[in-house]
Amino acid sequence: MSKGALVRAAFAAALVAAAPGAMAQPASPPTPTTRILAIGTIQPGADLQQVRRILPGELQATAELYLQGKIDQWYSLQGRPGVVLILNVTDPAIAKDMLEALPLGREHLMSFELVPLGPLTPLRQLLPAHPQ
Amino acid sequence: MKVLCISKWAKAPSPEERDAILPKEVPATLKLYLDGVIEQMWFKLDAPGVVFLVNAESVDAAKIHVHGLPMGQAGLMDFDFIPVGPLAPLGMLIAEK
Repeated sequence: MSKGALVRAAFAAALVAAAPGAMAQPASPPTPTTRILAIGTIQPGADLQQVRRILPGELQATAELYLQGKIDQWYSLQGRPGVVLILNVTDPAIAKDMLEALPLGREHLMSFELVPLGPLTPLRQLLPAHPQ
Repeated sequence: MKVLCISKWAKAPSPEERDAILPKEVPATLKLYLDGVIEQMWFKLDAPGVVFLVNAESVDAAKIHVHGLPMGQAGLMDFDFIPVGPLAPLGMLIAEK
């Protein structure tokens, strides 16, 4: 088990322990990954003229991913160039390949930070211990 | 405006601290959602935490909202704040028509 997985397991155990009546409940199922958050920023020192030349192609390729249902939500960063995407993808490796294949990624002008997301598990605490 | 708020631990809570505060944190978070402040919320799976998309007048206003949650009040949880807006390059699709 990786260190990250251990931390997650400990956190999940703490959440279960914190829920009233949790002792009588079966262990909560693991939190599924349902989306990936991708924060794309222009590489430091990138040639901004080159970025501008590539931008129409980047937009077209990004819109294609949206139309294919791969991009759930898209936003521009404010005050600096870049994007925030919520991807309909659950495997970070697939998300990385998909984004690095975009024109700015291919030219190593944009890099993405990826964060796997899932349902807000702690909400389970508010559910009745024995659903009617 | 919308502000993406990505949590990070300001101070790793002890198990006792966590058990004491989580039963307050969850209802307080749900209240911010019901008030329309938190538009979307997710659990963060790489390092345990949360990601909120917050509706606020400014980044400072978003900070006041999420720092007001019990874990923020206790100095346990901080956030990275990333203001976002409509995907501006989409404007190119109508500018040239």
